[in-house]
Amino acid sequence: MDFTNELIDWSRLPQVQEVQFARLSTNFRVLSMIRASISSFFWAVVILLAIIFIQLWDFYYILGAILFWLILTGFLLLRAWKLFSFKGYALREHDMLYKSGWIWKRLVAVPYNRIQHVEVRRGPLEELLELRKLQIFTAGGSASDLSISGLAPEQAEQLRLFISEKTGLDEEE
Amino acid sequence: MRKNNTPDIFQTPRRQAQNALIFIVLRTLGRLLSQLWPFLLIMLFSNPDYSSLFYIIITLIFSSVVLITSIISYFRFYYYIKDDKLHIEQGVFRRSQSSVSVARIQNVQLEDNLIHRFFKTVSASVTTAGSSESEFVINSMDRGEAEQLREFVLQRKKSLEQKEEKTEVKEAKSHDFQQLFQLSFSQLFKVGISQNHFRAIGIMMGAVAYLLSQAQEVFRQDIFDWAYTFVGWTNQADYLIIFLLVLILFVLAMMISMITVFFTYYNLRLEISRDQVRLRQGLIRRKEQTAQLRKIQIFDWSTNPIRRMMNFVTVILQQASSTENGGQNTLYIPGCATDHQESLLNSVFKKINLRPSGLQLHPSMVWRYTLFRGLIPAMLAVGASYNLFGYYALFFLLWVPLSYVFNRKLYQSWRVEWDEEHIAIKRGVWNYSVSIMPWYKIQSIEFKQSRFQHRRDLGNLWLYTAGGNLMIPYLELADAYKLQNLILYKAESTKKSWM
Repeated sequence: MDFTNELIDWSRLPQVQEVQFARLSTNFRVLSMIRASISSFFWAVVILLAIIFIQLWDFYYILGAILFWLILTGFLLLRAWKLFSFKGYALREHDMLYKSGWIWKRLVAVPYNRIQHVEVRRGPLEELLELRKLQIFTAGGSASDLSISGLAPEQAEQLRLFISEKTGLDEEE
Repeated sequence: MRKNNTPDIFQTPRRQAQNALIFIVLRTLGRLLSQLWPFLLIMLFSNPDYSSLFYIIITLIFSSVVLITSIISYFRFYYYIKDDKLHIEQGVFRRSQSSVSVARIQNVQLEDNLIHRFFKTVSASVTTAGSSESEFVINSMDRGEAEQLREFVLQRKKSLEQKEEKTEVKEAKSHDFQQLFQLSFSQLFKVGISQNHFRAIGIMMGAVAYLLSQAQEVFRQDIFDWAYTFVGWTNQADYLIIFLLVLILFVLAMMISMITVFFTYYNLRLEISRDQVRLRQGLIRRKEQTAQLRKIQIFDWSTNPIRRMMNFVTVILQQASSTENGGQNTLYIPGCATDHQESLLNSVFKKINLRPSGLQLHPSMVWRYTLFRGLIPAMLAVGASYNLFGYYALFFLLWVPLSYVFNRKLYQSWRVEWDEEHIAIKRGVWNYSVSIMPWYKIQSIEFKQSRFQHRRDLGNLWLYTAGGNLMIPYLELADAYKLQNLILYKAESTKKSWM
């Protein structure tokens, strides 16, 4: 396919595909495993309730339900384990990149001059594991916002300072 | 120099005014009441026994935990301005620290109610561009301080805007609207005819089905059985009846959508000034919408064969959402003649000169779409209706080749065009639509790949703006990267404001 265009020589543009991504804190793996276990437990409760209320006291139904739950749990745990190695962020001069996902892979790029505000959040579980979640808001609605969970506190704080510094700068001059 | 301008009082973290506690507690009580009133009713009217006592205790414990949390939240809420940024820290179990650059603040709205007035305080909500999520509320603060805060923010904003105006060519802002076009009665009629009547049919069928099921409830008798015996679907002649019924249905649907069109778009006028468009329409409920040209993010127009025959299109202008226009972000303009559409486009996005980009989608899109929109729904339909129709249910599988042909046409219709300032995507089989967006209006870009797409180095590219999104499916990885690099360059190298 011929992609050379009259607009601009794209090979001289900064290249997204050559960026080195920084990893999240290794504790993120623990966090996502705990979360997967919680949702697996939740599913166990749902399946149990379904069996009780629909009164499926048949051996094969129960066996099927247990098998289903085991497969689901296995999948959730595997996904939680794998996620870590697929996540990464990179700061460039004018934008921030974030990649994630095992089944659905995504690569998001947000220019600093589009960022409205930055937030560092932590829940009780994250507090325990010394993790922080960085949220970046643009004007493009929730779909275009960026949230990076599983950062070390100092990592998150650095990012927050750096990004809010950058957002401020663009308005100057 | 600027830092000295920051009012001293905001430089150290401060809590909200003490009476904010009243608002927090009142709001929490209100929320609790709205959640728990069914329980309260049951408790009031049930006989008091041990089990109801148990529920009462549970409810009380729950409510007091919520209430105490909300009170603690007051003591955990701090705000301050540092390095030209507004910082807000809040949360009890989930702590959060936000920082928003003062330059990004759109507005500081001050409000007071009776309690506020008694304490001489106001509530302040700080809004930034975009979603409602990007709004901070300070429940209560001293009126004088709040005014100082607002003054400070607006002053900063004004100095920035002045800078912007200096950099741009000074244009005298005029609000003299010139009428671009007005829908005449016959055009209104054409718009009505070219509406999507299938939608109206769907609504009618839904209404009829609902009425029938209601009637069945009332008469406690199988009304469908009754209908079958009454109409007697056994004779060959009944096909005529079915045909007539369908015809009547279609005519009715057409009439309904024509009447709706007549009432909503009656006397539609589109006017344009140097920096605004204004749309007025309506017979009984008159509606007037204005949009600032620079706030328009995406210019959409679409057409179908009937409209193409009558030489007009439907234009949709997608504006950046903000609290100012009360959520009315899109201007829907039906019955826009082709040359009007072009002159509108030229005044919204100046100097537009689209050329083919040479970008192509991957042909595997046809098969994947046929799988997800053809085969899987057809299989589900067969499975669901097998008990009802028996082997006739297999007729649903005819949907698969139809869907294949449609998706193939859709694939062939896809075009990506561009020029120095804009990108346009064109696609559609029956409903052909075109979306045009200036490069720099982008907010963020996302490249998404499913497992299948990842194996083949394909993916969908999402372009997010403050007024809607565009998506280009099944791009090859290399092309997606090129486009992403190009768009980022375009967005980052310009000083133009996206709104």
